[in-house]
Amino acid sequence: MLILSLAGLTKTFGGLVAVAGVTLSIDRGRIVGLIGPNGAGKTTVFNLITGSVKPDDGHVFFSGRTINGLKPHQVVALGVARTFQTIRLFPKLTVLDNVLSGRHCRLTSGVIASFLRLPSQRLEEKLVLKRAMEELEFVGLAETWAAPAGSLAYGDQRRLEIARALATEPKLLILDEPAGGMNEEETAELVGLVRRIRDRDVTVFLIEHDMGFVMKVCHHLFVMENGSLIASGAPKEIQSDPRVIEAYLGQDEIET
Amino acid sequence: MIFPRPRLFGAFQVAGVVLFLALPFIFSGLNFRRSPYVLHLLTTVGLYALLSLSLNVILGFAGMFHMGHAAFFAVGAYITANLNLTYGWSILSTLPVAAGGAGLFALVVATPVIHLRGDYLLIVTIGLVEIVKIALVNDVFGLTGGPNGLIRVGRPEIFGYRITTPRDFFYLIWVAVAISALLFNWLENSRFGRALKYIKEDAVAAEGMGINVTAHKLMAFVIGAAWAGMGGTFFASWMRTISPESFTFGESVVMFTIVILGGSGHQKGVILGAFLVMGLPELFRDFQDKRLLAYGAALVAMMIFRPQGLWPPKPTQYKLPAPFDQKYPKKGEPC
Repeated sequence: MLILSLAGLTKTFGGLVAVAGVTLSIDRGRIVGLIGPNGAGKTTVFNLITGSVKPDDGHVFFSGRTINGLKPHQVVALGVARTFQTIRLFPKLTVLDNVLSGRHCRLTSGVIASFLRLPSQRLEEKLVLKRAMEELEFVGLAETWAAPAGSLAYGDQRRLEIARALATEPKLLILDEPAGGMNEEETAELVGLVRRIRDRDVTVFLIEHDMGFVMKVCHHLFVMENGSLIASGAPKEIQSDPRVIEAYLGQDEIET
Repeated sequence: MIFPRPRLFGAFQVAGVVLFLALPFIFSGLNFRRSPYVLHLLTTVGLYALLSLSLNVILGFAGMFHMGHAAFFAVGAYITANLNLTYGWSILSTLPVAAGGAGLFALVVATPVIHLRGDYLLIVTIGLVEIVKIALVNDVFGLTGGPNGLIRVGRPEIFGYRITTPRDFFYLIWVAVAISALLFNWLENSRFGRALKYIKEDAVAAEGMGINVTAHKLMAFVIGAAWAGMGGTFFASWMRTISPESFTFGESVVMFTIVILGGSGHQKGVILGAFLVMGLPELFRDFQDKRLLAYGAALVAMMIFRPQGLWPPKPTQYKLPAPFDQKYPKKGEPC
């Protein structure tokens, strides 16, 4: 069953064509990678899916409906969550507060209920703390719940971003360079984490430059260069695809 | 279980509040000669605390630079004065209309500009307060009495008790401050209040986490304006005369200063700020013009050495539900 498909997605910034007619589909329950050299337009594809950038042309279908044109918060409510390439936590707020931000769209208490501290609001607040702590346990950061997010180590901040995104109860989780800045040990743990996310019936779509990580964790890969898809297939096929080697892997050491 | 433990007051603070509320009686017991003056001053501090607490929702919680709060204060005051003078409404019955009118006015003027950031929004709100003041001077719709304003606004009555003396108004205003502080404290520690905090920290990340940034900013604006409108009701019935010079850009700057100086986003800090900004200059009245110089220098020094304000907010304290409270005790706390 398809969860996400992009049809002829196009975006230009000024004269630069960032994404040129990208068409691809992702099956539910898979871990799919989007790779390519810097400037290939990968992050722009992610921004187009999540609604933070509007496409010039083309469509984004998610779970059977068109979602391009929706605002980012509406896309999140439908079940698409993301992390950012450059970490965008709320650094001054606590770790727990950060995860609670992801729960916002699944809560219902309005301004009046909050003003008057109605019983329904208090119950909801109690339940939300529980749920947020469960997400922190899932990524292994529960002990740090009271610390400011900005005080965490870099790799921990990456995992906190994932916990925050998972708190929105996504069907599709979009990870922009999740292993960026992580050491080898942390990256190895991340492989397990991404698989456990998939086991929760969350489809994962990720950008990553660490080829060892991508080859290990992804079921399927798409390769972009200069805004276009140049290859698609299982990791093994991609590794031996001459176009890909020329465009991308050839410039980089392959670690498998 | 109360969530999250608000810890409004410690023992010292309770004692301080009780002592403060007993002041009018202490004064009369001591036959304090300047009692009416001091009570008037403390009521002024209270009114500015109320207005600054409402501005704090916009500026402190949501981080929107809004320097035109006197405009909403004015709308509330003129609504109350008109309903009271023309239609004979009692003062307190105009309270919801003043709140609603100011809130609606805020919704109309803020909707087109709410997406502006930082200094751009600041300039627009300065324009807003100037426009409102000019409209008041020009007797717009024949409702404002022009430059002379409106006179002989009535006094509030609570259960048949007419509020007239300085002591009465001292209590009226400070009870309003206390109720506002409590409600805003609840609001701050809720889904809505948290959303404003996220928006203040990073609006892009907040939107990316599923928060409707525009709607929340607008709502914060409307709530802050509605509260300022109620401040206008109290002001009109206390002063009995309202005129455009009470609602200038200068007044807006005073409220802005109170919030920033006291501790943006922290209610107790804002109330402290009201005491310092409104009260301290009075203490140094004997120095006449030089006190403003010293006051200005103090503000500059503050902004250099303590830009977060005198009493900034602490991170929200959450009490974890079981079993997490046992599993993950906060560092420094016994298990």
